[in-house]
Amino acid sequence: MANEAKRFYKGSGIAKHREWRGLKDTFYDYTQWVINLGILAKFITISPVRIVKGLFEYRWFGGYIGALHMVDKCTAGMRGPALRVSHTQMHAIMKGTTGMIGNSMKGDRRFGDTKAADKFVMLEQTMCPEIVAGFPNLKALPLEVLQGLLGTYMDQNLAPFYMDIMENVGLPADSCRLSANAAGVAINDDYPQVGACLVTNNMPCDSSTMNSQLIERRITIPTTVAGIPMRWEDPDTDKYALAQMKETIKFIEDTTGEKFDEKAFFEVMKQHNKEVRNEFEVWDIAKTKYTPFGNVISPLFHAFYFTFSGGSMPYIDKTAKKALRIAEKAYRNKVVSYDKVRHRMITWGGPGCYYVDFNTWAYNCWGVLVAAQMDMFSGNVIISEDNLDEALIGIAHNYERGVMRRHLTGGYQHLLEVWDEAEKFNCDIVLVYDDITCKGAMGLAGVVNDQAKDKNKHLVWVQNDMFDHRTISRNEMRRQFSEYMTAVMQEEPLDASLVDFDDYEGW
Amino acid sequence: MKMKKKLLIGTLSIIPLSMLIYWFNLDNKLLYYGVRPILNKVYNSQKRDVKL
Repeated sequence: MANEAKRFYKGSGIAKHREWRGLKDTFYDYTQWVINLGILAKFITISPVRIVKGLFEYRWFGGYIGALHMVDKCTAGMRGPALRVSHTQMHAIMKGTTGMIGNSMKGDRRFGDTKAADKFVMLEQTMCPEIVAGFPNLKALPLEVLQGLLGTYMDQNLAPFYMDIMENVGLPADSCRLSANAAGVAINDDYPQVGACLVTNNMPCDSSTMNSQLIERRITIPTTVAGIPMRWEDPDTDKYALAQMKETIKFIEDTTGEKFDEKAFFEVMKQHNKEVRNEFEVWDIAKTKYTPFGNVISPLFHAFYFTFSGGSMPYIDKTAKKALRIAEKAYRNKVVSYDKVRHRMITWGGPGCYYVDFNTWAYNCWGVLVAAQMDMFSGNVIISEDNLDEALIGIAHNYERGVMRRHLTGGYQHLLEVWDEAEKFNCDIVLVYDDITCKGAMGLAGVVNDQAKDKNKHLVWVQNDMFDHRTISRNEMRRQFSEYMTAVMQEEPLDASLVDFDDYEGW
Repeated sequence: MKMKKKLLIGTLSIIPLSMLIYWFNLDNKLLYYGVRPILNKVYNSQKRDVKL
């Protein structure tokens, strides 16, 4: 039996040495590590002085030094096509993320006035990047995601500092951790001072609305709220969504002096549609036992381009096609990338972002492959490529089916889509994350339990506190899942050393 | 000629050196045990105008 936990220092979870994957795959992993170093080197060249200043100015920035560690964690145990697909997708994620951080620093007025600052339209939380598609001289930049979600993937200690700041000024401690972190960053004045304007939106929950108000107090650029319908299945809401999209575009024109360019807009929509079609092809392969997709990075890649690209990052399509070529070859040759699989699982609900590699652990410890997860079903709307009104409604539809909206606040029936998706992706286990501060999903716990009984399905709940590992640690998440695997599934671990180990102090 | 030889040796030694860094995870060890504590000291010394 393997003894993988021995490879890591207790507490920090830092590996004593990298994983031996056989000569071919270890050498391949080394070459991909070199490419990652190259991406990081290129990142520094965006604006070397400002990036170094930013690293010492912003606490959240420090979390990103765990990037290479995160890549190792997310690819642990992978071999052959799965390793190749994951690295291919991860390069695009790294390229995009470093580009956005670099641009944030390049345009940060905190380090001196610069014309570069006005070239960006800031988007709060999950606001759709497609809204900037008609402005080829402008770029969309996320305001909150870099300071919270993405950083927490790399360093679980990033968000607790900001959440404590938020609670110390007397704001409610039981609010969504994503919102609590965003509010804490604002209160601590840790947002870069960049952008010509800021587009916020009607957030999917109460605590998000609270953080929007706090952020607004710290932001000196003009802001507007794009109110996108929550109950999107009602076609009557389309008229309202269209009006909101047009208002937002006019706001961008007024605040930046740029004019909406229809031709450029449709070019980006074409790219958006390519991204969506690639995803559908991924699903066809992910449903089979020859899939190199699934696990962690593949769903992360989808969430990444849904949130940040929307057709505006040309390398996303190239990356997806390269990954598909690898996958199709593996399928043709009947290569089983995940050869330790005993069960296939779908994960649903808000995950513990401080445990981004939970899926990798579930595979290496228990032989459970996460073939699909909720984030993969965000967006995926084909948008008109020649009719402006239809295209704008399409953007709204894509956004309405987005992270946190579709499944958690878009109507109870969408949270319960999990059973159909489990069937389609041939999953025999359903894992629902119990994000303890997400009030949107909590109300349906009883219904999900009842449906699992009615359908005679294996259902496991794993609690987490989204950004706060101090409440429910990674080891506690492991304990909950392992208990289910032992007690209900009657399984023995593939690697007993991974059932219970200490990585509490780690990134 | 000597210079070229030195340059060639220097360039060629990058590969085995980087392989050592990779295999023994020296990059992450340096960042976690070396850089991270320094950054934390810098962040903890910052004075911020914390207000609602």
